[in-house]
Amino acid sequence: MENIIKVKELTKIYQVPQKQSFWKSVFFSKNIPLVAVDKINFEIGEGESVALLGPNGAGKTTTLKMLTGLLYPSSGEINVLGYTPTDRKREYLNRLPS
Amino acid sequence: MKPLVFEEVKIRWVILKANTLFTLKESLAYSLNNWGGLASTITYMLTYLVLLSAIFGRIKTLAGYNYSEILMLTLVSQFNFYLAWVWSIRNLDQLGEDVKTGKLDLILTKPLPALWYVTFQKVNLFMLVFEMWPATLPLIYLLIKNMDFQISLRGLFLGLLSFVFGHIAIHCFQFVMTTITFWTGEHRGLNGLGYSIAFFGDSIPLEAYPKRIMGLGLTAVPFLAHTALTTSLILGRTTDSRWVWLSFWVMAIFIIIKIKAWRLALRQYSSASS
Repeated sequence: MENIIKVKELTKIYQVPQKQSFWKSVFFSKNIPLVAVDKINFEIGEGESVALLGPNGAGKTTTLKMLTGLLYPSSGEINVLGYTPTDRKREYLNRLPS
Repeated sequence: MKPLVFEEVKIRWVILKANTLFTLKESLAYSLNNWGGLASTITYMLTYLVLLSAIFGRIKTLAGYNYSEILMLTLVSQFNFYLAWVWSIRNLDQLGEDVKTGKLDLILTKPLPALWYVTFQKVNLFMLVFEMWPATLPLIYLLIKNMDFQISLRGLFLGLLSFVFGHIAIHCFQFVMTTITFWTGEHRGLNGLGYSIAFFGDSIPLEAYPKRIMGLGLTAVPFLAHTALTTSLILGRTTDSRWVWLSFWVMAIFIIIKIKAWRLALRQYSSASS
C-alpha cells in the first residue's frame, strides 16, 4: 500500500498574548510561544481509515489545518498526495473536500 | 502557455463578476442604508461647497489655485474617495475581520487565486451609480458654471493615468498595513490609520507641499498621486510626463510589495476558526 500522507517531525508553535498589567498590555503587548504540535511523525496509506484522537488542546485541529495548507508548520515536513500543502497548488486544493 | 494565461484571466473575471453581483444584491437588500448613505454624502458635499464659497468670497487664490481649480481638485478627490469605497476600503476591513475570526479559511481552502479574491471580495456598484453621482452633481454644476481654466487632451490623459496609478498604489499601501493583522489579530486601528494616510491632505494642491513631503507623498507613502498630482496634470500646472512615469513605477513596486506581504502574512495566519 502506497503512503499518501507523510508527516515528519511536524511542529507548530503559536505566539499567544501574555497576560500583563493594564498599562503594559495597553502599550506593549507581549507574546509567549505555545507548542501546539511537537515533532510528530506518521504515515497514512491509500484507503486506510485513521482516527485522530486526543484531549482538548492536544493539537488535532492544528495538525489537520497544517495538512490542508491553512497553517504553515513552524518546522518539519508534510507531503500529501505528492504535494506540499502550503504551496497551495490549485491541483491540490481541487482535491480538498468542499 | 497562452491558454493557461487565458484561463487565469477568465477565473479572475468570473470571481470579479460574481462578487460584484453578490455585493449589488446585498446593497439592494437594505434600502434604508442606501438612502442614509446618499443623504450623508450629499450633505457632506453641500457643506464643503458652502465652505469653499465662503473662503473664496474673501480670497482669490489658495496655494495658487483659484476657485474653479479648487473645485477641480475637489472633483478628483471625490472620484478617488468613492472609488476607494467602491472596491478597496470595504475589502480591507473584510480581510481584517476574516483573519481575526478565521473566516479566511473558507477562501484559502478553495482552488481560487486567494489574493485576487480578497482584493475584490466586495465591489459596490450601487455606490458607484447611486451614491457617487447624485453627491457629485452639485460640484460638477458649480465647476462648469465657474470654469476658469483650459484642459488639454494631453493633460487629461496624463491626469487619468496618474489617477489610476496613484489609486492602485495607495490601495497596495493600505493592504500592506492591513496584513499586520496576520501578526497582531487586530485591524481596526491600523485600517483607520491607513485610511487617514490615503486621504491625507486630499484637499490641498500639489504645489502647496514642501519638496520633501512631495517626494515622500509620490514615492514611499503614495498619497499625492491619486488626487494632487492628477489635478495638477489636468490643469496643466505640471506638464512633465516623468511624474506619470514615476507614479507608474511606484504603483508597480507597490503591487510587488503587496504580493510579497500577502505571502509572508499567510505564513503567520493562525486560522482562528475551530
